[in-house]
Amino acid sequence: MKSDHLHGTLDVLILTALGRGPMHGFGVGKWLEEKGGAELRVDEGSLYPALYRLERKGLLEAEWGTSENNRRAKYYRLTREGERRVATGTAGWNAFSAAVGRVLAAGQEG
Amino acid sequence: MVEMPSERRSRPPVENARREVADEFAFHLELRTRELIEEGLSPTEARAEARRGFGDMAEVEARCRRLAAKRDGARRRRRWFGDVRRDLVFGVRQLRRTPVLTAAVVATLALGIGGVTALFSVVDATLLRPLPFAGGERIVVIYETWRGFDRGRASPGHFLTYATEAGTLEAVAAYDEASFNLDHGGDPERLLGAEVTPSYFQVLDAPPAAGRYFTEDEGEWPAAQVAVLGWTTWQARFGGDRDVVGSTIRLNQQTYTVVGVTPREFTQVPGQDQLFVPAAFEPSEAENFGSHGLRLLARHRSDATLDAVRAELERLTLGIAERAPQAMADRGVHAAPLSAELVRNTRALVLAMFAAVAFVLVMAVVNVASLLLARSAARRSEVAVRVALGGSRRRIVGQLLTESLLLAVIGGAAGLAVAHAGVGALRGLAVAQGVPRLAAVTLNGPAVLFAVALTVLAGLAFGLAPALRSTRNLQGALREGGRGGTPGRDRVRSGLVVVEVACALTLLVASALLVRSSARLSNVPPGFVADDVMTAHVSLPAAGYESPEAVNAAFGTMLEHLEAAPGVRSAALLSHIPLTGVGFDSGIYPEPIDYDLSTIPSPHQRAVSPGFLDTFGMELKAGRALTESDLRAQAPHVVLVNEELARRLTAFDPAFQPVVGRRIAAWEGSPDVVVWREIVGVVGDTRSQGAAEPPVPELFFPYTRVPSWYWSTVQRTVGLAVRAEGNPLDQVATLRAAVAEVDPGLPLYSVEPMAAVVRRASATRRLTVTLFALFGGVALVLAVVGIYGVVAFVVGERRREFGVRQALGATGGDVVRLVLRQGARLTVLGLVAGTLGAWGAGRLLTSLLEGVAPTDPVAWAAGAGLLTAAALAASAVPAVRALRVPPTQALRE
Repeated sequence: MKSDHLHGTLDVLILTALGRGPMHGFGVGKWLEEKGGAELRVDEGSLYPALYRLERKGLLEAEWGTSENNRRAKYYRLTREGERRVATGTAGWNAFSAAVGRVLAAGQEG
Repeated sequence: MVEMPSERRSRPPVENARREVADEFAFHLELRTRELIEEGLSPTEARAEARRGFGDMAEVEARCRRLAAKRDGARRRRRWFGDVRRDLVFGVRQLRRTPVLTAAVVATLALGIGGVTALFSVVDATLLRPLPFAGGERIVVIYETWRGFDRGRASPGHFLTYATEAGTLEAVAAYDEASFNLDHGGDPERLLGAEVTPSYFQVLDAPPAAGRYFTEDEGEWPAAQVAVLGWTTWQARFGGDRDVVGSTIRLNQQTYTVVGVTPREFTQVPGQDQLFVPAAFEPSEAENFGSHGLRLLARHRSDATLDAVRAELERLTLGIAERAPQAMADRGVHAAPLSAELVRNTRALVLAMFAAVAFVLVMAVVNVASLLLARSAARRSEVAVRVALGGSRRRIVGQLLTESLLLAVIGGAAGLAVAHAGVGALRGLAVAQGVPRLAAVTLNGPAVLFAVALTVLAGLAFGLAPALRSTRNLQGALREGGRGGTPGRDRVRSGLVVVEVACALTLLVASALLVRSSARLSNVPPGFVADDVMTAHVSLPAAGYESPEAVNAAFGTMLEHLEAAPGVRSAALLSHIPLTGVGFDSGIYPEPIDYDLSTIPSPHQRAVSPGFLDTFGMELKAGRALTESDLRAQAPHVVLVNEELARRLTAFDPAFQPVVGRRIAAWEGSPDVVVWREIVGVVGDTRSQGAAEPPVPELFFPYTRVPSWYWSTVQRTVGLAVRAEGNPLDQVATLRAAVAEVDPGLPLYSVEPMAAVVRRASATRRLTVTLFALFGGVALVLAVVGIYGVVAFVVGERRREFGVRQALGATGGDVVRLVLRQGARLTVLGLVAGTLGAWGAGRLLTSLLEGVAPTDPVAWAAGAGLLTAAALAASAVPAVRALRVPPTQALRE
């Protein structure tokens, strides 16, 4: 099992969220909550460091823009490298969650 | 179309990380709070709840700030590398667009940097690097001085006194060169080695390559029959086999046990390192202060200074003089560091060559700067356009510097290749000529660092000036509409040319001085004729040849065989063939013997066969030559003297004239034995020590009638020579056969035509002259290129002016004169500045000059004249080319 997989889950979620278009940090958190429900509620203490980490890795880039309510906000968007990673990350996650599912199912049977 | 590197499109601004994170979080909190209020919380509760989502908000903020800072750092680095890469790509393209200029610059730099690096390696190996022994910088040579000879040998008594009493010395060693006939299967071989006290290997402290060194016991009288092989012998004769330790070898027909092998380091110490046997002294030798045959080495304690060592040695020597006043008349002591002594004769040469290549490098850098300045002038419009389009000055200077450094790096790499080849060549020469320590020269770490530093410095030096100039006064450049260049004189370039001319004069005068000196030496008559003569050496072992009769019989047999051989016009035995060794001197007493003995002449003493005059083509100036009958045991004792000795004898006693027919006594091994020998002839002087050395006084004994101590002192070693009818090399077999006639186990060594001996004796001098002539030639070429470049540049800029002048009635001659005056002005300024350099160079070379003053007017005139002529020629070419453009065309441009 790849050790960074669970840590990478949040990354995959963020990248997927931004795959729909540029968003500020608040927007990313909101979108994840809407789509995933309370189970996927990401607290801000994890979300922002993850965003900065992804920016540092060059998967995201950021630009200051104007928000819906006319405030100055930092918008994130995927870099080309980030877009590639969304594709592979999604596939990887699907394989991983399927594997977890098989293990859990086996546990219930036994 | 002006080409230029692309400026990167707009980049995200590098934000202050602290503000960025704070703003972002504030924005988040605001949205979240509003959201919570809409859900029904009070504003205070909403704000608290929003903050709670962050957990420890300060900690999260700090984490984000750290990540942001790293992100910005990485971004800056990426951008910098991107700039450099773009600059390099653009730089390479620029260099390829001007292949001739690039090649000229790279070749110039390669010569300069390569030369300096090679010579720096030599300076490092010979002058800077400590000797490769523990405490190598503390090793000193101890000499006895005697009447102006400050590097004499010491007596056993001196050695034992210093060894036991000198508190400033850790170890004291005595040694004496010795040669050995090694009989180890195959051809017998002659090894040059030394008898050394066991302490020799404490002074020269490096672990043995195999086995061990001598024990104290082995150095007790009588010395043990053990031997330490030298590195080269071990490699060449025993294939580096470690099993040789413990085996026995035959040396001088006696059996020795090999106990060890010296490491390679010993090859850096003077001369004779092929084999070592222990030296031992009889107890009675402790009081022997009279025989001066030992060389002394010592290592002083780390807490003692050289001055303290000298003071103590002088005190001890005064003590000896009190004990043995007779033996110590006029004798003193002198100590000097071994590292300095080793290079005493080559130090000046090495430094002079280093200075010369340093000048070449300066000229190379100046020339390149000059070339790049011209190019930067041509590129002013490009730069101006870039600035006008918003290029930053920093980026443009960076671009131009990158180009210069690129050139410097390519030149430096080529220079390293040149240096590698040069060091290899120098090492080859060093091995052939026995220059101490030079054999160990390699292109080493410091030299490579030196090259890298030079390359970078050179890049900055010739990149910075053009780069800064290019970005100054841009409006002016733009207004000129791309014609490039400012009108009028170019002070910087002119200054560079003056520097170049000055350097060139320095090198040319230095070369001319050396050429003059060498020419003078080549014209010195050697006093002998080397053509057609073949020479070799042979040594009889002590065993079997203890008696003078046995020695005489052996040499007699050899000579008989040689004289009877076909193709031999004459043959001779000569204890010291000219140019192959110094020989030794010993005092003689002109009859009557009641002179003040402290001023007796001390000639070199030679043993010869009667044929030596004919064989070497030496002249008889007065009296008669030696004859076969002079060799007979019952014949009266006769000798020959050379002119120099005749002069000294006459100077010593004006009544001693003519010398032919007068008698002298040589040292016979004891003050009680006096043998009067009649001078029957005077031989013409020879330059037996080399063309640069004045003739030494020489005394010639018939080889059968030498004083009793003679053969053991020269270790029964003589030179054999034949004058051949044809090729002297055909007589090698004859010489071998003559020696084999006596004993097939005797090795014949140093087998060489006399002409080769003569060539080798002047090899260093010829090499020096060749190298300096090369430096001078390179300097001349560089100066010509520099002057041509500036004058051509100025002519190009003034074409329109010249056109106007000609249109207004100036003749072609007027224009040419105008241009020539420009070149002449720079040349004269350079010559004036170069006078100082040339004067310094002459001083530096003084010790290398024979019969030529450092201010020799001929050499100076030759150097300055050649340079002036070349400079005028270099100015004339662009001048004439300026005329070839019709004024109408120049005006239209």
